[in-house]
Amino acid sequence: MIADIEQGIIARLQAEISGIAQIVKMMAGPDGNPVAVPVQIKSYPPTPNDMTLKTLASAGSVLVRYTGSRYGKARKGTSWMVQDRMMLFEILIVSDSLLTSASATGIYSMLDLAGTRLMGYQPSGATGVIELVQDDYVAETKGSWEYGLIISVPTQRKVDL
Amino acid sequence: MSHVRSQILQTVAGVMELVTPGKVFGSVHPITPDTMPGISLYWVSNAANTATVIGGTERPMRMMTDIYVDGIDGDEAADEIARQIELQLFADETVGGVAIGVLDAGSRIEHDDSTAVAHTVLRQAWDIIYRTIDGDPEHGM
Repeated sequence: MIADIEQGIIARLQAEISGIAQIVKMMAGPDGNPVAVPVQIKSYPPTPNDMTLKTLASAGSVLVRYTGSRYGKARKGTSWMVQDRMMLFEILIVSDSLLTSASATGIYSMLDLAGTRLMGYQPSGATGVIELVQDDYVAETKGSWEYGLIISVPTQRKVDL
Repeated sequence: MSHVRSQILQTVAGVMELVTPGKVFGSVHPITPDTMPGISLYWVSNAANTATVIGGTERPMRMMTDIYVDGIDGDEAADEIARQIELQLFADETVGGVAIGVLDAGSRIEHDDSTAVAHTVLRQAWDIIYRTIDGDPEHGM
């Protein structure tokens, strides 16, 4: 369920913000001519390191990872049991620039866009819509800025007893 | 044979199945998308009035039919189910021959978006009046 919902969030972000002009970064291509580079949107890298983050930051990236769940009090019948599960995901925005400019994908723009396009969206497998929980500065490593947006996805677990 | 109270609840549960088939529960509702709209059926109190019946007891039982509907804007859907429940209950006020009357004891509506499935609950209270001979809780008079 975690992977399915994470993929749903990624697909939503890819469809909604990957190619929009506001955050497409213009970078020099192999021939020296400017090339429009869309923001990368994917799962958090399995083994992140400074070089990985530097690469992700150069084009601007939106990374999605599951951070945990909060469970509600169980409801039990004679033959069933249900628990609400509020799943939390972090949308990690990585960029080498805070503000958007002609040559840079601003982290603030991506942060706002990601929140706007995810709020109210119901991924497959969820029982309700996404709510925004908080966003915050995460880190700055050699010019690579990271901001995180935490979102909650309501789901349930149900078993027959 | 079971207590008249249990007989009443079993009969009413069968009637509720006509309203929300396969989605009638006891005092705890699962509150999942596939169990709504559904009904939670249970009793909360049972008074005893010995003054009106010689050698017996008149027992008004407070019974609840809580209607659960998906979404916090489920007022109309819940009301439609409430209408059907009332029609069904008053179609046989003897509740299968063990009671002497059904009284509407009021209702209230609640909206809850704190669970994983936001929902509306219309709580209906009913008083099912039945009489038993003292010492015989298994047969309605």
